[in-house]
Amino acid sequence: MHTSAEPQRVLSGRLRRGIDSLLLLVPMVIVVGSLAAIVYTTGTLAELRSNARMIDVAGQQRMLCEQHTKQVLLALNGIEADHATTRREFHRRSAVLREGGTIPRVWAEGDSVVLSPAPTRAVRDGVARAETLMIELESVADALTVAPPGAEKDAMVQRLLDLDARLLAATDDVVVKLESHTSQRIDRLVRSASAVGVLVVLLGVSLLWLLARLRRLNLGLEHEVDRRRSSEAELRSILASALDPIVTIDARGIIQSASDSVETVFGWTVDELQGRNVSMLMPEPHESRHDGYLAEYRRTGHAKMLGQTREMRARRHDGSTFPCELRINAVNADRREKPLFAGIIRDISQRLEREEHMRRLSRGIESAGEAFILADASGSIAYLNRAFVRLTGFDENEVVGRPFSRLPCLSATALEAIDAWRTKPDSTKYSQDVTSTRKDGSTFRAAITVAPEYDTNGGFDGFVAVLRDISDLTAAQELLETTARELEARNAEMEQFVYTVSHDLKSPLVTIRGFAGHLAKDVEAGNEKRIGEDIDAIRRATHRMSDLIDDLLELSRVGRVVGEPSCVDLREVVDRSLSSFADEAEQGNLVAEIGDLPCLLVDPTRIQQVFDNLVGNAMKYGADAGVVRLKIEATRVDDTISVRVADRGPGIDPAYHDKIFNLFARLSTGTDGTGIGLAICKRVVEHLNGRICVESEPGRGATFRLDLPASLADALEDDTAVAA
Amino acid sequence: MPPPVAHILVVEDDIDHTTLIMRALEEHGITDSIARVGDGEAAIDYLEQRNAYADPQSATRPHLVLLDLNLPKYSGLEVLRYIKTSSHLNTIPVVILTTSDAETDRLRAYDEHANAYVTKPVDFDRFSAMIRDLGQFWAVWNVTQRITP
Repeated sequence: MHTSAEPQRVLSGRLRRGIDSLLLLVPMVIVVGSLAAIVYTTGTLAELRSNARMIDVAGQQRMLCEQHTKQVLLALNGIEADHATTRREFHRRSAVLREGGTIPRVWAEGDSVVLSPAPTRAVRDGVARAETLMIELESVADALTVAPPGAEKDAMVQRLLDLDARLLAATDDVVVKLESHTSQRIDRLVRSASAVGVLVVLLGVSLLWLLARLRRLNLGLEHEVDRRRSSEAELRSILASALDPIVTIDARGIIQSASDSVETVFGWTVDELQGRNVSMLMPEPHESRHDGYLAEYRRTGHAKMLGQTREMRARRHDGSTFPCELRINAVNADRREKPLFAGIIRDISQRLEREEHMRRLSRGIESAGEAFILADASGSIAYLNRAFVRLTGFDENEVVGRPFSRLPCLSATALEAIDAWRTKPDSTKYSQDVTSTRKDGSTFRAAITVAPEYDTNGGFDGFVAVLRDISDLTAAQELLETTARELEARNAEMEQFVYTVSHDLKSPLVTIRGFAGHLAKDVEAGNEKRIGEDIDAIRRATHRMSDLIDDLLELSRVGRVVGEPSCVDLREVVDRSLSSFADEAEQGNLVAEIGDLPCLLVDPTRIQQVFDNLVGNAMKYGADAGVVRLKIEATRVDDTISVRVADRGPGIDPAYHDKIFNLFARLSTGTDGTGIGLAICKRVVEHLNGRICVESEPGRGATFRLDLPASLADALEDDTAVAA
Repeated sequence: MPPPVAHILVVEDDIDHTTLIMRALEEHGITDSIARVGDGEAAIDYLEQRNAYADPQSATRPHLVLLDLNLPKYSGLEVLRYIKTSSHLNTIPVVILTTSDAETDRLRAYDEHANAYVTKPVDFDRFSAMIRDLGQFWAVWNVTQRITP
């Protein structure tokens, strides 16, 4: 629409301007035409007046000629007429004509000579012919007065009459010609008058049109003036509301105007600034140099600053300075004699502070130990810091620009979880410990925190992910947890120990004191049977107490006293344990079957205790069944060496399998024992990072299995290899 | 008519302690009807009259159970829980008689609805007096729901 309307508007503008100039020409032509018509009319009127007079003169002349001829003829007949004056007048006129004969157009009127131009050649010729005839008539009349009568005189009279007739005819001819001319002129006058009338009407119309046109033009101009005024007011209000001060100066640096914001930025009011040198707003060295810059501009017409944006410092009213961005433009560069320059000063101190703050933040992020990944609102990675490169081995080119959901160092599961978090509308922060993969394929534990970023309007603007290597932390945490578990176990043991002191150790004491009391009474009563019983009970109790104390000490040593590990042949250990029951073996009450047993790098004393206890238990609980059959063997599966000590004794109910390794746990009251032996075994095995368990069912024997790390044997092989 | 003689079950793994308790109960004339078992499993078997105690004559329902805490197989607390959660045994008064004066033991025992918790005195006279008073109260003065089996 716009494109097609534009040429039309241009065309109609041109057409209107053409018509306008044409219509301006019309009144001019009319005026000129009218003037010409007036001049023409005036000329015609003069001609008419001249014609009228000539007709009048011609009439008089004709009458004069008739009377003159009549008087001459009367005089000839001897009659003195009273009209001698007419003859004298005729005579005088012909004399005048004779004297001025060279000018045939001149008519004599009384004593004066009337100079009246003949309107046409024909009239002039007629007048000239009449004058010639008049002079000839006068001369004939003169000659006739002195001529003697006779034929000659008659011929002269005939001639006089002839001349008179010709003079009358000539005069009439002149009058007829003048009348014809006059009539022509009157016609022309009428025509020209009508033309003038038409022209005047046209003139009026065109003047009315011009007036309308002028009125319209005036309205347009008034509208334009209003428009300019309002746009000027708008400009002023824009200037007033402009946050950045705008100062205009002339070529000498004198401030011409300033926007209202100078007051807030510089501390000067607009009135204070107007008329003063702009250099007052600049700190040194610009203040003293500025006039020089302007002088240079006035001399060369070149200014480096024009149209450029420069960062510099400006000075406030109180003398303090601030960084600003200055842009100077020539306001009216076309007026070379009086140029104006407008400078826009933007206070950039806050911006610079922000930039500095941002730089500091950026440096902080760059030098941070954690990896920072910034993604934009579309989820595309926009930034990585150095720590990311250091931590993962991936460089910027490999990651920036990729979608976050394809971040190479995180597993698909972790990325899916983060993606799911992002789609939640109220997502605040996502934190998770993940396994991160480096570029070389190695992995490390990392804590990832993803937080959304919002712009000033509260719109989602991307998110920031922080990846922290927590391998050390995880290791430390694991160590801490292990230690805590150990401590907890120790604490539980300690509690058990205290419990023992208060219960199991007190128990024989109750027995001793109780039976001692009975003993005193029985001695007094002489009850010898009871005395024996009392003493036996006391003895049992003291033995039990002694055993308990020994075992407790032993147990406490297992954890505390660590012997130097050395190469221990388990076969030898088992042999030593069995040697305690050499008598039983000899009597056939113990049959031991020993399989292949490995050599281990362990504390020999402790491992001996384990097998002593296990073999001892088998003997203790299996003795009732007669022959004790023991089978001891070892197998290796992967990283575990399992040593089995199996008997064919009464077995243990599975309900008690967990209990039997507890401190002071006993399954029977009929056997002596403190309930510490298996607790010692468990503790020794656990110290070797192994575990002990029992596989058994009542009546089908019991198998104690020690699962030990194969490294205990492998370390030995390595040593052997080195030695070899 | 004299009150019926109270029957007491002593659950104690230490045979000497059992002897001390039995002697005290007899000497003070509380009762001579005393049964003794040495571990938790035997105690439950006795009360339920099964396995080794299947014959009702050999396992009279007790009027009082004196229960040690540290027992082989099932612990005293496990036996206590068994009795107090059993609909036909829960009326039998159970007195915990132990050398332990650990607070955890006391709290757990009462949590399992023990009727009393008594620490064995080391001193002979006090031990004797304690058994006497305990027997007097629980087996003589305290009126319990005596259910004849």
